[in-house]
Amino acid sequence: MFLHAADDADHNQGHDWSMPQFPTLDPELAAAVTMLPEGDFSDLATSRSTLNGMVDTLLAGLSFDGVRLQELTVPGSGGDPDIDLRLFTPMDAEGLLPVLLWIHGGGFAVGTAESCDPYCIDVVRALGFAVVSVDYRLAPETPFPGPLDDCYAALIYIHSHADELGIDRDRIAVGGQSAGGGLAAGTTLKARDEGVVPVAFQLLEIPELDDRLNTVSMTEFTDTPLWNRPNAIMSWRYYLGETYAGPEDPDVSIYAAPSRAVDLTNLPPTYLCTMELDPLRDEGIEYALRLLQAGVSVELHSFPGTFHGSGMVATAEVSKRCVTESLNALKRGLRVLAPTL
Amino acid sequence: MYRLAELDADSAGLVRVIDYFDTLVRHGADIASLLRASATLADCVVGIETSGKFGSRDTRRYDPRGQWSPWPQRTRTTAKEIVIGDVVAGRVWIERLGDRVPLDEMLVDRMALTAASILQPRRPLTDAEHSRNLLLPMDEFAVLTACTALRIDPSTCVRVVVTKSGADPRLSVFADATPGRATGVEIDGDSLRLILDPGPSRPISSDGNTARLTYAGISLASKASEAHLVIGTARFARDQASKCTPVVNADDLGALVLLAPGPKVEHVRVKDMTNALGLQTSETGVQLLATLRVYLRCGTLRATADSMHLHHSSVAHRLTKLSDHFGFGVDALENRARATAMIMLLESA
Repeated sequence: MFLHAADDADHNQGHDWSMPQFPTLDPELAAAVTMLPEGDFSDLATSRSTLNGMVDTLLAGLSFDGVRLQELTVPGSGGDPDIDLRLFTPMDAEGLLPVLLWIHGGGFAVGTAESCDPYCIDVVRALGFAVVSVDYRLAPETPFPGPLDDCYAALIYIHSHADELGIDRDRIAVGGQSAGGGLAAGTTLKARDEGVVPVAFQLLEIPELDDRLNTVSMTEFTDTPLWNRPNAIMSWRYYLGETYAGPEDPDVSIYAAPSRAVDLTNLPPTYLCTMELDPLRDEGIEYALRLLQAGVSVELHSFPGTFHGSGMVATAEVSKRCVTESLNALKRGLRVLAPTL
Repeated sequence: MYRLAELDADSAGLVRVIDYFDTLVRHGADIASLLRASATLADCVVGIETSGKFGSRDTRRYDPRGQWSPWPQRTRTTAKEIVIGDVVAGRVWIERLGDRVPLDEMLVDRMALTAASILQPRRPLTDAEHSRNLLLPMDEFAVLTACTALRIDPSTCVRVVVTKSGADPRLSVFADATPGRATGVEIDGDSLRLILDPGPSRPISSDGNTARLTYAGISLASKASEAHLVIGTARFARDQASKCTPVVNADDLGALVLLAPGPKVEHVRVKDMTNALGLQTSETGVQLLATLRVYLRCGTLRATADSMHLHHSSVAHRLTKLSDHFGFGVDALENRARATAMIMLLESA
């Protein structure tokens, strides 16, 4: 945290210490950065245990009042292992419910479905519909297409068992955050191409979409909080496996890196949000723009003073705005008759 | 997320809390942001009451779950006034259920300072001002605030270099010798500068250009948070400098440095004293020190031997053992004062 040696270049040039490193950071988020643990994404064992430790704190004392959780195990694609799903529904559910298939983030290599329990519970309480959180296999142990296939298998299961689960098969949204957003976009593309499940809405929060790493934000943000270019490089290498030849590799599937998809027509209405100091910012904005240009209805918002994952600072005003807007978009996208948030 | 209760209640934890609130100020937080950020860190309800116009009071409370004015209102377990100049402009507090957290007082203290900064913005202190506050602190909090601002870990091992104002001693130190963003400070006609302690393998010395004749003193090593306690040893060392030895390291003065005027220096900071105290734990060591005591009084090997009814070679052997133990010739004429100071301080301890 502290530098033992002076940053002599800045110091000798009269560096203004009153000017912080990321001056546009929201004050509450900037303060939070001082408390975040140092992370090394190259050390996955430690990254996983650190994240799980933070999640344990988050989950301690979590209330499930008014929400029913069913833990399901469903078949994987082809000969893949079974997949664990967490199905959240309102206790007082009536009729067939719209559903959000939610995919957690973590650079394709860390994270669990359980870590999203607070979010899933909030969505159920706010909008009164179902959420399914999928525990997909992680890279690098399981590279693409494994994680994507798990998410798609979850989508197929929800659709084919909709009646049994109390779900409206015509109101299925797919969403995710960070790598989960990338998986959500890839799952939605696959759903379009396979033509089995009509995805009604796409919720892409700070999505990780492009392994080519050539946007301005990805090039410039080498030391932004929580996510930066070095982490992104490692993340794609973990996900795309040992045969991956790098950003110039012509054989990367569009389901792995949705930004590579040329045809974005016939995709469902989409909400996409990005964060200002996030290397993923520009690929998200470009994807949204291309969706619009392909005739898809898109709501796009880039939140100021934020960094990748800053939504974890739930009390920050900008984080609350982001959550409220995302829920409203989901509500409109699935035509849910819940009170305006 | 992060919680105050999970931070260590030591200087490192204090510094993290200081940095948290200083960051809010640097990024232009308002009172609402301050309350939200405070509630998140404290993980309990926080509140602020400020004096409005015509004697009215504006009270705002926030809980870590994101709710304004949570009910019920509980006891203010830790509170602090917001002071701007000489005026009490309001009060901040936390409403903690259950046991207090060791850092509660620090958190509320910082809330109050931050609220004051927001209500009446001040020019941020410069690195030079923070450096001055580190070397002339009002209290422990001022030291930690300065360390935080200068990006110096309070436990970093440093030394203070003292010269006459305007002089440039050209010390031979390795690159990046300045800790964090510390700058030189002028105090009472002296220039003080903080440097990283290079350790025993890289002694600090003059560049050898005696024609420059800039006398400098280097203090005993200390933690950055305690640098203000060893300034006197740097001044004392500088005062012993000469044409032959323009740069004097307080370490080389041994126990003599404990005679320096200024704040009392703990004996454990001086290697001579710790070495001497170590000898006192054994019968052999006590015997060796007794021999030195007599030698310093008598002045010669033979007189010492006579006084102690020993052969002079035995006395010489004991003095050699002591010299090896202390790292300097205890019987050498040039070290007579140093050895005498050590024995005298040992006896008075």
